[in-house]
Amino acid sequence: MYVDPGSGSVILQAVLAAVLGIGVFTRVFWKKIKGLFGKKEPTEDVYQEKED
Amino acid sequence: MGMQSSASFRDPSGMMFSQEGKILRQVNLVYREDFDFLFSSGLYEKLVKKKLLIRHQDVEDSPLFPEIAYKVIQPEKVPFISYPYEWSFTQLKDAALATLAIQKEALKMGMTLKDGSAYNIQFHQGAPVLIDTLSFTRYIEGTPWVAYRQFCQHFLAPLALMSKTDLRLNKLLTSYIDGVPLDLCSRLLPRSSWFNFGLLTHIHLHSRAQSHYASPESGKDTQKPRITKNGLQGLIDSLEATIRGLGIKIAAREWANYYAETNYTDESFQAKKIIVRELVQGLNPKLVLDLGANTGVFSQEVAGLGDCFVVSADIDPEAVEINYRQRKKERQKNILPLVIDLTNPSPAIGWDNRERDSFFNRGQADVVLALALIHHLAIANNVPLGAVARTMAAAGEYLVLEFVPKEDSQVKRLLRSRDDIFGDYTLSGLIGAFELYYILEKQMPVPGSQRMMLLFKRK
Repeated sequence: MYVDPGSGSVILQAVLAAVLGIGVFTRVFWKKIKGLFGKKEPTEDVYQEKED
Repeated sequence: MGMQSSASFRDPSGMMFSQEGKILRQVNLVYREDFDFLFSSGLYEKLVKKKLLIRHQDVEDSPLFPEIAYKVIQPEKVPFISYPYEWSFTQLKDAALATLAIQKEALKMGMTLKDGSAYNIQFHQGAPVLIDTLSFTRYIEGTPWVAYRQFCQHFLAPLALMSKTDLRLNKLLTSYIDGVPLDLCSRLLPRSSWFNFGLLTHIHLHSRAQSHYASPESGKDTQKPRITKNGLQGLIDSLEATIRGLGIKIAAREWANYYAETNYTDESFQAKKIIVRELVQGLNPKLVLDLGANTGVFSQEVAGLGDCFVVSADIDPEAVEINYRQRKKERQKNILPLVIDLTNPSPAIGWDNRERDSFFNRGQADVVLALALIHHLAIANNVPLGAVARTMAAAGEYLVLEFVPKEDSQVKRLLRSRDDIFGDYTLSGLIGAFELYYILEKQMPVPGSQRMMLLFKRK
């Protein structure tokens, strides 16, 4: 990778990822639970709000 | 023989070059596996379909450096190059969100972005698109996102500053070629930003982490920390939420009143639209430069004619913001709003002062529009008429110029608190100055006002 990631940036990233990853895990887990109850999945959110 | 682009030289994976009038990209052998994976994973198709990545085709043209080349591709051409310091707030925000959307899609398919540069994004058909096809690499579970620092400096920092400190601060990007330094951003943001989780972590703490680990005493090389895919996704989501949460306040009512307060009756405004349409339609232009475009009302008139592309430039970032929001709403693909100060247009910057092109060097326009503009340049900014003529003639073949005389209330306002030293600022004076560079083809008064519409053709 030619771009310098920055040592401080990598370390901060590791800390944040550890904290924030829990949120993702919870969300994914919760979606699976909801799936078991047959709830409809909301569509994926891309930055564009318009449909093409 | 081909010539390497002065903007494309850092990434060993390949480079852009021009050859026989075509703009091409050489893909190097070192990048072969990643490039093939971009297709075999389905990521290329997915991103192109979502209009997040520029389409390209394989071509037979000979590479610039054959010894290291894998293949040559030709990306779809972007009609006008622009840079993040010329974008309005929402343009930069959309570019940032597009980058994150691309990274999320990439991760789903086993790839990740190598860089998070705002210069990898261009506006194409009205929306931000990644033009660096070689920006992807195969994702290795456990590795950090190497683009995180660059993303924060190129996107998050200027957006936070525009939102929390001043709308004009993306201009800092002209002084800092790799994005706004995080310590500078941290210092310029208000204290309230420390209570925003995203800004606290990705800017303030990020800046401290950078300084701490940059110092020689920060200890020996520690083991590379492991970052799970979930963690990475959490990081990306956090960046996205932070950016979505950034907004700006626009004085909407003042903008609604703008055209009412100037010298037009409703009739004369409509008549002016018709005159501009007629004049431009006859010229059948491919590229129109609307200078001092304000919220793009006349750009809109012209963009519908033929297959014309309009660069809609104004000095006021609020006007450009309104312009862009309106074009998005209308799904207008042929207009590019940009923030440009004509008395100080974007300079050429970067390595060799050639990495990012100066504004007027990016392509000859077929038609230049200078509507309700000349008095701002000649009177408010003391630019001699001859100098204005010369610059406009260099910018495009035809010029549609609206002369705003001293009797007009807008000019009276400009002269209110100063001496009238503008002896040659008359219709004949202007025509005389412009005829050094142009031939006057048509002259039409704007009904209901004292203004005169002029059509010039470059000599």
